[in-house]
Amino acid sequence: MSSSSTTTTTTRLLMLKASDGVTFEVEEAVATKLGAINNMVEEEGSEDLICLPNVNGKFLGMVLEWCKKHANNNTNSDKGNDEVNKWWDKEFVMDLDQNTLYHLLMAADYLSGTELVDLLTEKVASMIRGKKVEEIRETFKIKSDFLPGQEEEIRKKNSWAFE
Amino acid sequence: MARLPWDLIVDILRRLPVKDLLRYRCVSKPWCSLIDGPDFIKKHLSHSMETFSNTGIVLRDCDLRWVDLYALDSAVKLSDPMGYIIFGFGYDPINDDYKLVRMVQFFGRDSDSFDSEVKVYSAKSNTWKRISDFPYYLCYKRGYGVLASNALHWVVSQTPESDISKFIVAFDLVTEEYREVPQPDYVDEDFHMNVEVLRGSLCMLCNYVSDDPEAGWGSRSHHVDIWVMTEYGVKESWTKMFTVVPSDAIGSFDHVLPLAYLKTGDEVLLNHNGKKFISYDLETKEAKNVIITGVPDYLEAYICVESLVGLNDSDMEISWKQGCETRKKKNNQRQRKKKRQSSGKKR
Repeated sequence: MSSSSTTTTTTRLLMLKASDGVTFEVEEAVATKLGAINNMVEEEGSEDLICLPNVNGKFLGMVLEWCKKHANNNTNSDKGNDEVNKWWDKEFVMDLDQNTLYHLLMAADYLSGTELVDLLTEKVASMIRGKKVEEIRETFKIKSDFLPGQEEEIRKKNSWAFE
Repeated sequence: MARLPWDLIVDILRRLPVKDLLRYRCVSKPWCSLIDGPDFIKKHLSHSMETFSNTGIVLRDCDLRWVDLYALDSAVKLSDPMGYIIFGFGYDPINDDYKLVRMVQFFGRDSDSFDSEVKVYSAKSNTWKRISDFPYYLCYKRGYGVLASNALHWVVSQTPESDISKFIVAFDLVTEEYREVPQPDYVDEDFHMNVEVLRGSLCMLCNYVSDDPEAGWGSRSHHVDIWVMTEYGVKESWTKMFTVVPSDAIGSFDHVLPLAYLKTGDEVLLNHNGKKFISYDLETKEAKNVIITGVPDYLEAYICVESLVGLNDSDMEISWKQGCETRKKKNNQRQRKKKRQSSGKKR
């Protein structure tokens, strides 16, 4: 599975290689929206192939898709860019299942895609608002490590928060 | 299923409402210490400020209510803690100092939690000092600490919920420490407890309340036993001195409080229901009304010894010192002026 973007003579193309060997050909302007790649380009200069051993192809593809959309939207000088981005972001995260969301978030974090991390953490936050403690443990795969009675004590302290 | 790294969890949690976070303290120990930690608290607040989230309008009448600024849907009553300030005053003979004790006790309306902050003012040093928190729940919110044997006394319970099992706690004005006072062995423990002082001895009132549903407010007492601790701190020295029973002569009451022995020493003056005075004859065991003109309808009565002791001595000293300093300043200014004038002349 590989993806390429429309090229112009002036933009440089980078090859990004995911952990599972899948490669992506991306415009430099798009890829450098990711802080990690921007650093690598600046440090390593002429290197055109960048290996990313901590992200697999599926999630790298999704991250790049988001970068491309934002890069394209931002080249248009319309006033409504922000609105378009917001609308598109909403669509982007709308139907993500929890597992995909978590992997995507970790990929974005690893690649230092600050804006995307922001978008995805906000999405997770919106999913865990107003939940029961047990639901949170389930969502984050956490086992309670309280001794008997300790949890009760903590609940008592802020009993209004459980109403 | 993926497990998110801790940094991302922190980033997610700082976006949540306070109510959720207080609930999620129960998720696990690491979550609890994260949410309680000063770093997270700062992060959460700055996120709220940046994004204008967690913001509402506080409405105040006799209660406090909260309206979410973005929902603007309903005003929710806040369960603010109730608080009381209680004072006590007495003499510390070792340090020759008069001390004022100020106790602020806050407790939640629904929960069993409470906090008490205690400060002591020393007349000698003219300073306030915070001492260790009062670890008991005050059963009565009005009235002062009862002074006996250089200690202030209050009726307390361990928690608001254990209000039934009351005991007496003393604050020692010399050591500034709390201690429990031993109680006598009662035959019938079903009474309302209060403390008072009679000629320097700590007294305990056991008010046995009538079960009669017909008994109106202010007339519920069946009888009041008055115990005196003749030797302070010694459990065996508690003596049941007398019992006041409602009668035709004095009428019914909700409570009586002993104030003092009358001159002859065989009569005790008591405040009856916070309204009038009665005297109790220890010989004949009879109570009668004491008519004093000009007594207000509702009163709290305290025994007071007239003296020349001035609490403001230290204040006066300070104001005198301050006076000196301002005078000095004025003198300096005058001297400086003079110097300027004289140097002007030289030129």
